[in-house]
Amino acid sequence: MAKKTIELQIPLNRVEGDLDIKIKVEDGVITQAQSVGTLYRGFENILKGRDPLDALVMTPRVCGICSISHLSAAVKALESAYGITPPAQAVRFRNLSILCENLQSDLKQVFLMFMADFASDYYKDSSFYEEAKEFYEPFKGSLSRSLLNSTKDVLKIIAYIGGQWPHTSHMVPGGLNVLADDLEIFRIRFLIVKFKQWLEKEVIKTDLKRFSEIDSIDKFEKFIDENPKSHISIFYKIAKETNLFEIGKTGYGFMNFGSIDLPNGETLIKKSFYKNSLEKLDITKIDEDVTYSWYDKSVDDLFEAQTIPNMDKDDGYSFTKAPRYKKEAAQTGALGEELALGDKLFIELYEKYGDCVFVRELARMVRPIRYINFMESEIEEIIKHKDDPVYEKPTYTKDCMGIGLTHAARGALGHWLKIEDNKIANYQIISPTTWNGSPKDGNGNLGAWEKALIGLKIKDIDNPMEMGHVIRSFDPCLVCTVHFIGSDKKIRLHS
Amino acid sequence: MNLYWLQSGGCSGDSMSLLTYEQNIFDFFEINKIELLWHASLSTISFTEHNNLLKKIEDDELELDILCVEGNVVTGPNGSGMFDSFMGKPKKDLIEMLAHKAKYVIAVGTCASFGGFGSHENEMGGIGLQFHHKDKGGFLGKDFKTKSGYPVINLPGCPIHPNSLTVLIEEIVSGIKVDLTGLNSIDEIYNYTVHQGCTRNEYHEYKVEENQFGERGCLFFHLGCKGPTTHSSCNKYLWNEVNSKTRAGVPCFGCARPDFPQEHPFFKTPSIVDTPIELPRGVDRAHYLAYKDMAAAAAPKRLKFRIQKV
Repeated sequence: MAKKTIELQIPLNRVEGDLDIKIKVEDGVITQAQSVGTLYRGFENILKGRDPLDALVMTPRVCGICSISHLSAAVKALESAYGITPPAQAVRFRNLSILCENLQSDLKQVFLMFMADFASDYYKDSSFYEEAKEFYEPFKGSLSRSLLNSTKDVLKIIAYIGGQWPHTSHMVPGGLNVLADDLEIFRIRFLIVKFKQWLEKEVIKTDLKRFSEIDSIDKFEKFIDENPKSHISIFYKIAKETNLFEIGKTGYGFMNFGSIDLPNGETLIKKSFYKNSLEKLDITKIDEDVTYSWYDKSVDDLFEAQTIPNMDKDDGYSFTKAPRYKKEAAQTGALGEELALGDKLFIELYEKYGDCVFVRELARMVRPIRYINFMESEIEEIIKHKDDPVYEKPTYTKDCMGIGLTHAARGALGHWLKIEDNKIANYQIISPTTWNGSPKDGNGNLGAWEKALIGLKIKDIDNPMEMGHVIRSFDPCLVCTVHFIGSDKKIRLHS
Repeated sequence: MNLYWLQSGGCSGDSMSLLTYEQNIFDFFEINKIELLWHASLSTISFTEHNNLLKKIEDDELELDILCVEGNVVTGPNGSGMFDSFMGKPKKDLIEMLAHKAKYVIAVGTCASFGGFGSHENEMGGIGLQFHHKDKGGFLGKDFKTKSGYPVINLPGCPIHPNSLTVLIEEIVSGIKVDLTGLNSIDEIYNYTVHQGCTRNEYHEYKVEENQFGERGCLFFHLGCKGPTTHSSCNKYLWNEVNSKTRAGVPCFGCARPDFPQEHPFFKTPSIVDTPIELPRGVDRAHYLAYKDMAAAAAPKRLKFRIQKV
């Protein structure tokens, strides 16, 4: 019997930025998937020839969603180039800035973008539909609304430190260019505690300490039974009913560029690659493949690599490059952080269920708990050292190179910077979504969510909800993949 | 009224900013009876429903009240617009269609207003909806008017302050006349400078300058601050309700100016004889120099020695 083969063009919303997916569906199952972005902004080329410090103003504008992450990567690239260690107190304020951005981003992604699906008509016959509608319906859901109030309060913390969110530039080589007085510092502490209380009362429905102590699937399931109103439990129930434990798997390892800076230059969550076990990251083993990208081949060395768009390439189907680690495809994000941290619950979940949609999204849902706990101790350190300097004037070098690595909400973010004669000679950015949403490479390895889509069953081809769940579980941010470009496409995840 | 939000050559920063509106933005839409037909980050309608919606607008079956465009119009490579595509066609075609259907077209942010990022180089070919930098024209042409009789209304800023959009929507919904500046921005937000209301004004007054990062002092003379030459409300309506960059110590980068992002280094003020080349708007250079020298001589110790906690 002939197979029923369909190729479609589908715009899917609630991802950040422009994304197209071409898929081939045979007898209701995805057999081919290609990830295609549709916007090219040429940021890396705009930076060339500019004053090195301009990276602090320009790279945050790569992405309005994670602008602090880009600022942080840029300042680290500059400090690495100039050989500067910023004062400990500056590092603390930087940590708070980036954690605020990440934690509100996590919550917005989980509830406004991911969970909103379960409140759509598509699920009107499901047991969870009424509950999902009550909490997650766009613009109306009670949690969507209260979340908006809480996340904007968290962002005030960045404004108290750096003036505004999004798009500020309060981190400079040598520390910070801002001063927070006592009132600001105490207001920050107040807002952290207030947010923690909201998280406990409205989202997790128990005190965070209790949840943080869960270190096995048994205890996790016990928590689900005992706290049916927790949004973690609601998600668990939805995931069971919608098969989220089975779909979205890649088997790919996880890139971590290091999260939460420590004053000694190390990071709390190590720079690492996790696949079955934790490996130390060898940064020199990262390169970008452009076999299927709409770019001319450049060199592997990221300090020298160029971004040269070429729309006439026959094999090209995407204008994101394909970053690879030791020539392997990889993924990145909240789950990778938990695994690198050695979190017992997530290691057990990952070993039992793999990198399925449920485990990947759950990691993002609970990460704010870990963040807020750290932020609470960090602000106490800030108060203790409140008269310490936050800036030491550095010496700039005329010709140098540096790498800035950080962990944005969506995962591993790196800036590679080369300075010649006090000007930016080259700038390359590898953003989290270039790992997760990369095209195929020359060795035939699919990008992470391309891989995750293969074999996925699609019920309604006019509304491929399952595909949305899989891709959204990666928290795509296409505006960050600064060298995306358009092409003809079959399926479109659009923003 | 209904509203269609379209993202083009941008970073989503304006959308993110809007979510920080001091009143809940969802409440704002509800109270002002704004039906959000489409916003890519928030809508849950399927692609089929979205296609139908666009078709209805195109066929005049649905009247579009407000079109918000976030990001510039991408015309590269070589005028094709394919660096930003929609359904296999350049997105600029969709922008053109919607702009001609909408009663009001709002350029949200500097990229949509004046071109912004990617408008200074040829590669991306980014242009503003009705301006290219300070020159009228842009994508829709200098004579373009929407059905309501207004040109594209510009709300520059990178990102916009939520208030600039909310006040404009409230003006539109109330049916009152929207007053515009020479750059077709709304008077309400853009007829005064970022400098107005900065807590560092007293340092500026007496030319007490910040020479390195993290000092207390005015950022205008050495560190590139464009507060006195940029029209926006940053220090009248604070960011996230609590602060502004210049108050905190980050120079104003002129992100609401038509020439943003400018060519010269952001953290350096171009000067002649230790006086900025570009002076506060409308100021006579000779008088300003004389005034600043005298003011510097008269500067009180509490400022000179930075005893104040401001």
